[in-house]
Amino acid sequence: MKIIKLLTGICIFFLSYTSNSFSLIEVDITRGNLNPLPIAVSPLSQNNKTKKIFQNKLNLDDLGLEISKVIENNLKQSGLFNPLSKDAFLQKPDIAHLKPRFEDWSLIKAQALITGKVLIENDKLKVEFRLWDVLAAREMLALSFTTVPNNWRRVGHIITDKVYERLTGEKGYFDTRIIYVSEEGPKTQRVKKLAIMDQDGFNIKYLTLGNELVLTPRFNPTNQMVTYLSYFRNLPRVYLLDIETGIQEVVGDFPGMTFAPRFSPDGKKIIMSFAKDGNSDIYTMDIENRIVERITNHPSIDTSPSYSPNGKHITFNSDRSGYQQIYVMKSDGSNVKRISFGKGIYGTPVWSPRGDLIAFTKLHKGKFYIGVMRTDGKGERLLTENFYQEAPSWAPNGRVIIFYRETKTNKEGEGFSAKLWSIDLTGYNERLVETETDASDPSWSSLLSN
Amino acid sequence: MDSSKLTLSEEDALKAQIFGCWSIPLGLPYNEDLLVRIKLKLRPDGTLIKTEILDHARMNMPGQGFFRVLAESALRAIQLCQPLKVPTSGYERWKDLQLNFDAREMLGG
Repeated sequence: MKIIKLLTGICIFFLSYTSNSFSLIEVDITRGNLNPLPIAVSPLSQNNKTKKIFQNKLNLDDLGLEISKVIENNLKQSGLFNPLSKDAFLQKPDIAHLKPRFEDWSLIKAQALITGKVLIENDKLKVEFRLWDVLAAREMLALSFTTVPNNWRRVGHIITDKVYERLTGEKGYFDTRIIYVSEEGPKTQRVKKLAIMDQDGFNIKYLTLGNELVLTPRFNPTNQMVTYLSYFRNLPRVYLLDIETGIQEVVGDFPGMTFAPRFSPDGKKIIMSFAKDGNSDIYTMDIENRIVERITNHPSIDTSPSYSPNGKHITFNSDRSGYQQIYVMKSDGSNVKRISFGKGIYGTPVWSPRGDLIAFTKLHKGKFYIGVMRTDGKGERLLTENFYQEAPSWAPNGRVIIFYRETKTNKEGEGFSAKLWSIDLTGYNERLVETETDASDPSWSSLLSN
Repeated sequence: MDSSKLTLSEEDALKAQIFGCWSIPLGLPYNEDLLVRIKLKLRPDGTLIKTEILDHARMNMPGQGFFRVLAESALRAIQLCQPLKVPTSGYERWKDLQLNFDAREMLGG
């Protein structure tokens, strides 16, 4: 009996010893720093012959450097990356592109590195780039593309999109454009023109002359067309404009107050609100056959419709409950549900391209807010507060929102300005979007290189 | 004392060190179930012999982009932090460690 007890004891000892010697210690890491990721963007290398060709063709001293600056600026503006000063770089661009000396890049605290090369082939610009994980000492991404030399800024945007996607896991929003209403002159006599620019404020073009008031430009899903509202002899008209050709056509004259035309996700319809017999409701119009269909039919004021990305639902605002609130319905107008229940007045709802959130403007106690809520109205978050701001529009990845903000005038009526601003979905990284003139009513395109 | 665990102060020292090295990818969604578990094999001085991502298969699966981004950021943090602040004694106890990286609390805050 004693022997059995002894053996059992030995077994238990060995079992527990074995289990102790193999039990793995686990440590939960639930905190870190939220600082933007330090990244080095090496100038894209080029040989002397290529350099001279680009100097002649594009009048740029160093195209590789200029492209790297476009990338650097995009990454910085995103708020997620901290591009390091080029003055600290120890390795030459051409060598770094072949095989980085990771210890050199680690020394300057870079965690990621972008290298590249530009060359000319059959009069075309060929660009190669690589993204490196400095700490793991390995390549994360390598791509090349060919385009016309004048497209060099877009090359910078496309590289940024690829890097952003690889390092954050979600699509970028850099190879995109923004259409907006450019404003000039005193507040009472503003000259308003349609303007379009790259998302970083470059390549601004004015699409109308400023003779007529223009409002609410919106891209269609392919980015080629824009719909907007303009007043002709004091009557609102909905226009379609082909950005590339400049050809413009009137979609229709609509009675009374017409608001905010916007494309359906398939680009086949325009959805808008207008007043018929003094009652403002939501309508769609088929662009091809121009057939108008009534979507809401309610004695209240229904405006600002926006489709969900799958086209199955529409969000809009209505004062049917007594105050202006946000509603969601099926795209045929059925199953209308109010989703905003917070204090204040809600308007300009816009469905996120991801489909998960609705951005809106809210007015409460004399302050304007830009916020987001889930599509069932839950999880309302106010991202930014100001004297006057409205018209949110989503970047195509559903992470950044652009809107416009007006400043208060002084007693003499001076000091008025309207500017574009962007803010991250988290409420961080609020930034002024530089424009040549005052600006309002921005609309963000989808990715051009899709 | 349970000899299979780090003491609270040993664990706190290690956590504090890694908190400082881990740049949480700010673009990650805060509402997704993202947890990255990494097994480490360490030398007595806290330098790394080997790292292994558990669930490594998720790194290359379609639709798991966020997992890969989080896992890579965790690996960078470990590299950046080494030598890790490990206890001065009891090497056998902690030569194999598992770190569970969970960013939800930070991103959702």
